[in-house]
Amino acid sequence: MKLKNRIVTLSLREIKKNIKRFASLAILSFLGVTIFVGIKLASEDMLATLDTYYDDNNMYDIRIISTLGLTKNDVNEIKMLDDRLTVYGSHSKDFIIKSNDENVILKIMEISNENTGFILNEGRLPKNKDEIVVESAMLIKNSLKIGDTIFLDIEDGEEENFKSNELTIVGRITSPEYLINGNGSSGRGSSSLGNGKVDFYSYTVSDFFNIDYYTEINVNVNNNYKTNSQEYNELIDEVKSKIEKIEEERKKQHYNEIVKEENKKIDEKEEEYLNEFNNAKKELESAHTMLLNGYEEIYASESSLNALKNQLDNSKEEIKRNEDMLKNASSQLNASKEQLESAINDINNELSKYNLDYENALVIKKVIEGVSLTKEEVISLIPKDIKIYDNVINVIDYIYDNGYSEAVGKLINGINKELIISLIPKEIENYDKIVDYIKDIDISKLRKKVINYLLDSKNIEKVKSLVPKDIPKYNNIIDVIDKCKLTVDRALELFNGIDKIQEGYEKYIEGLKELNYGNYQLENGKKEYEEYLNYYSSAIYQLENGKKEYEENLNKYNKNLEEYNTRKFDFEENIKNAREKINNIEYPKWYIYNRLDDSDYVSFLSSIESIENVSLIFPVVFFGVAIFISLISMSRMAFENRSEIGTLKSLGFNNNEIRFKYVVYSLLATLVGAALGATVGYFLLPRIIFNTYGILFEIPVFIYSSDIIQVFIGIILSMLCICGATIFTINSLIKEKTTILLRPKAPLKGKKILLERIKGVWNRFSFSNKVTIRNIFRYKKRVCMTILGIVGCTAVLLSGYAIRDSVVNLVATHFEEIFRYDDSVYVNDKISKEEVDKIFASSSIKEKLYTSVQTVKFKSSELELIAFYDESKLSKIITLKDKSSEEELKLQDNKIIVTSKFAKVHKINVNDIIEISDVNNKKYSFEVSGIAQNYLGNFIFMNRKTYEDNFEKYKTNMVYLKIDEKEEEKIISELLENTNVLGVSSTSDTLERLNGIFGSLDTIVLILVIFSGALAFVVLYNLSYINISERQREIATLKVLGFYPKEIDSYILKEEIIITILGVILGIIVGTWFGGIIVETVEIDMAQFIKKITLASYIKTILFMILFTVIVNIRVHFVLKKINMIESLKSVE
Amino acid sequence: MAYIEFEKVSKVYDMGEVKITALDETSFKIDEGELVVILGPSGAGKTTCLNILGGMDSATSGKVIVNGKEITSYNEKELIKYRRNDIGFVFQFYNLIQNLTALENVELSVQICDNYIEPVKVLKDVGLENRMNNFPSQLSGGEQQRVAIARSLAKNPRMLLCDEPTGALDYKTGKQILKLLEKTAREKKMTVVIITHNSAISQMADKVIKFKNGKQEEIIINENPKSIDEIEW
Repeated sequence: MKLKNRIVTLSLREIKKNIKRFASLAILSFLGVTIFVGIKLASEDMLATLDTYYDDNNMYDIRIISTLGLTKNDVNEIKMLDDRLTVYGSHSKDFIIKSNDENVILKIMEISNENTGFILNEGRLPKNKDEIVVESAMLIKNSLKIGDTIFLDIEDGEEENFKSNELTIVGRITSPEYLINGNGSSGRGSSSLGNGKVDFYSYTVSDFFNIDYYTEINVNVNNNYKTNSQEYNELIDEVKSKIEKIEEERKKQHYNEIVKEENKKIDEKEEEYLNEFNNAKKELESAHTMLLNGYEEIYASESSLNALKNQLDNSKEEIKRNEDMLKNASSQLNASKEQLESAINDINNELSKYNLDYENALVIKKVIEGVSLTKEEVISLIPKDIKIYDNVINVIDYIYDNGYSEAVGKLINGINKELIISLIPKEIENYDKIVDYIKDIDISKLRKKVINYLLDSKNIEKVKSLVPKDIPKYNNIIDVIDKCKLTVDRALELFNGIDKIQEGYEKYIEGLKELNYGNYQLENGKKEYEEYLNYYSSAIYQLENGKKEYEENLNKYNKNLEEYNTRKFDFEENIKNAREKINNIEYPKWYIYNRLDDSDYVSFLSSIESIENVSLIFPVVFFGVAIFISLISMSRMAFENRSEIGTLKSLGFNNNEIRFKYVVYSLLATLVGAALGATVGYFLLPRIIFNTYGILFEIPVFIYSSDIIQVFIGIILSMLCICGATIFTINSLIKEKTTILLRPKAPLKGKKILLERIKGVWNRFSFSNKVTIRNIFRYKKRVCMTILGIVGCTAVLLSGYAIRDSVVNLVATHFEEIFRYDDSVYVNDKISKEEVDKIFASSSIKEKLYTSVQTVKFKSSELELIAFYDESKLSKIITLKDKSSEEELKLQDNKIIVTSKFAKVHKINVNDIIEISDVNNKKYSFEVSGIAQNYLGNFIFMNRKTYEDNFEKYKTNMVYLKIDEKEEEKIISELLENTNVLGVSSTSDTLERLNGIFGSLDTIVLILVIFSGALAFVVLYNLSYINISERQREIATLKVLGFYPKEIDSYILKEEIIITILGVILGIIVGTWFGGIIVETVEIDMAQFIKKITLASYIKTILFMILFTVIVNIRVHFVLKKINMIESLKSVE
Repeated sequence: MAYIEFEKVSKVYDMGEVKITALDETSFKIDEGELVVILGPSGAGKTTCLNILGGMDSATSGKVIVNGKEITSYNEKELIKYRRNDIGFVFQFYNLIQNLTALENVELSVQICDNYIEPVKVLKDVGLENRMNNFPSQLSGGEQQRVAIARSLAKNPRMLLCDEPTGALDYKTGKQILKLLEKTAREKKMTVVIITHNSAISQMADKVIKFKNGKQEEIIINENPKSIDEIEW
């Protein structure tokens, strides 16, 4: 009959009998495997999740953004670079919308089949341009729901680009482009609107966008690599460099295209308007000419009118003069008339004697004067004594002969000397003398002579005959003549007088005539003058009108001219500005991003990295503790099984057969625990960790990675640890001789201890204390193990806290001690320093630091290079102090200061020379003059001179600000209104985001602290249990001897307490050191954790350990109480 | 050639300061089928001698030859085989496996033997037919010792070594056990060595080896061993 294997029976019975121990081994295994598998897989699952999330939703591998937009040609060119590429262009835009009286900035992106997709959480997709789907956080934070409408604030000039400004929310989505949970406050990237932060993202249909260029180009590279694996990163770099090769060409083309187009537009406009202007100009010119003509006319009119006026004035004057003259003449005439009349009166008076009057005298005169002398008479008159008497006679002859008697005949009237002279022929003898003689004739004497001749009585008859018979007073006159009562002289006088009167009278008559004529003329003149005056007046009036009209027209013309000029000027200015604007169109800059440039992604990877780092340490710790406890537990078990092993040996079982039971026992325990642990670790823990991160990240899916290897590794590790510990313990026992095993274990020998030799001290101890101390040295092995156990647990507990402490304060400390700014502002680097000064001129800005920041590479790590405009201002905002000596560091020319983490990772020391490369892969070498303490990020600092000596002209592109807290928000919005401010980021936002990342680490650490605590408890429990069971006899004996329970307790517990205190003190020291190491291991690349353990953490750890010890000791008390004296003493001997 | 031969066997425990001589060049012979009683006071070396004979301990010097084979030169493996197949040991305090029933205890011991007797039968033989499925803790001292004997007998060993088998038993029970041992020795012609400090028992033995101070002091041969029934003390 086949025998059942009783070793197997034994093994199984052992489990049943000692289920608690079996369970504790299983639990150890469970814990170790759970932690190992769970944490290891957590990071892998999260990566796998991200990978799947990205792949399922077409997340871009590379994204290109251009400051000038991108075109279909760009898309095509990029497509042609590699046939693994899917390239498509997309549109997006930030808008301000009003929500609850606040401005919210919403990024709207385009939905297309090729684009990055998203997960629809609720509702449906938008069907037209008036519908939109938004992220969940937007609904929550703004109390909106599906069905509500939002209103976009579209900027002036952009109305054409967007087809709708009222959009109805039809659904709620989550997109892989934004991993960070929207319920936080970190925002969705930076924007040039509002306060610089995009608040929410959303999607709508392509129809919404009416822009002829793409705002971004997305590139998907066909591959099967895992996100962030080395193959993936290399592939992306490869594609990226291909794109970079054509970047310049594309930029140039696009730029030229745009410039050309813009110029064309301007040209067209210019032409259009120039025609108009030319026409207008022509019109104006003709108007001008007309005006000029008009002006000339007026001028002429005016001139002539002026002349006329002058004339009129002159005329007036003349008239006045004439009037005066005429008046004078009139009075003169009157005077003359009076004179004449008086003269006539005189004559009348004189003639009244003769009964004659003036009139008669006239007749007489006339008669006398009418007497025409004959030749002989004339000759008789000529004085005979002149020399030229003969000549003169000849002349007279001549004259009479030639019929010119008239000239000489009326000698009484005088002679016309000239006439006579003219009648004298020049050939006459003594012409000249005759002429002279004639000239010399005294007319009056001649007249007298003549009259005398006439009035001679011989000649009177002739005279009388001459009197007309019909005249009045004929008789009187004849009478007078007859009587010739007048003397010749008197007659002459009378005749002269009458002549004069007659002359005078004629003159008077003439004068009167003239006067009348003059008056008449004057009247005419006056009339004429009046006419002309009227004419002039009306002409003036017309002129005035004409002038007014002219003025009006002139004004109109001027206005038109002005308008024309203004418009032309404006137009020209506009053209000039437009052309300038074209010049100002910046040569485009391309930004080629891959996933690693997405800060959400990097945050995620950082979180994973920190988990990975944790996964290196804690499983090790747990397994270490598992080994430790297994050793303890199994040695206890071995102790209990001594005689059994001896018996089996005596029965002839070999070592393997004997070991079998223990191997089976531990293996079963381990496997049971491991299996459970693997399950929990595989399914539950990653999920829990992932969900913890769900506070930070919004990833709506979770994928279990298919990496079961970790599970197997975990199980195997667990087996190795626990079974290994078991076998190790058992082996030492099995190797012993059978007889030794069969005998009960000899109690450890008592020995004198070193302390005893110091008699002075030793004698002071009470007996029980002496025993206590002796026991401690007696049970060296157990005491050491207990201390080790306590040290381990304390250390692990403290380390957990150390991580938490280091991490928790990291961010705040960084911004309080190192980078002490409130906000950082990106500015356009093309503006001058003066313009930058103007931007930051507000008095609420307490400090400002101008820097030039760029990303550089060292080996394969990226870091930021910061050059300072004014290094003396540095210390106001950034603290650069040496990591170890804490003394302040100063920038030196052509040297750089690097930050501590960077130096540590790459093993860089002061005075080393390192080579960095910029974005164009140009290399630079610098000597490191100092290593500055820093907690977040990796930086290289240099002063301006260094920058300008090595790179290019310094241009500020980033300004760090310290702002008065109350004014901060106002200042930020003001800054963002400035077109030269490209973005603002505040440390409070960064703080929140980073604290989020670190906060989740905090949770994980807390979980670990709890586990550690549990472990600590189990260790202490087990150890004390062993302690007691090994000394059962001893304790029973004490009971027999009559010790009180309290005394028995104290017998054991005093040892325990001393050991615990020693263990805790050592544990604190080890924990501090170990914590430091763990912090370094768990540290992520971008941060240097502050290795600092707060006093609170120390106290907490000590308190926890004391708590555990107290709990265990309470249990000890109960166990001690249970020890049955009799049974204990009865056992094998 | 005697079946068992001890030749100047010494066992010395060296504990640094002290040397304890458990066996001091002891020599004696035992023939096959003999019932031998080893007498002596506590600390005389009786148990040590039996342990060496049983392959559970090693001698510091000297030779032990069993059935022509020098067991003191055996290595570990050979000793295990020796214990497995050739020896049946009965302890003063039974040393039963507490977690196995009486039957299982016997089955345990024979599962590694090539040539064994059915455990049930053996248990019946020792009168424990009704107690086969009880655990040692449920058995009285005598029953436990009978299980131990059954365990040894089932192995069909060459010799049965008993170290104070009745030491923990009362007079009556002890006598029963001894009877069993006697029966085994006589009926099965097995070499049985019994250690006791009860000199009365020596009357049943064929040979009595008296031990004192680590060596045999006297070897007495009983021509006519008495049956245990006849012995009173």
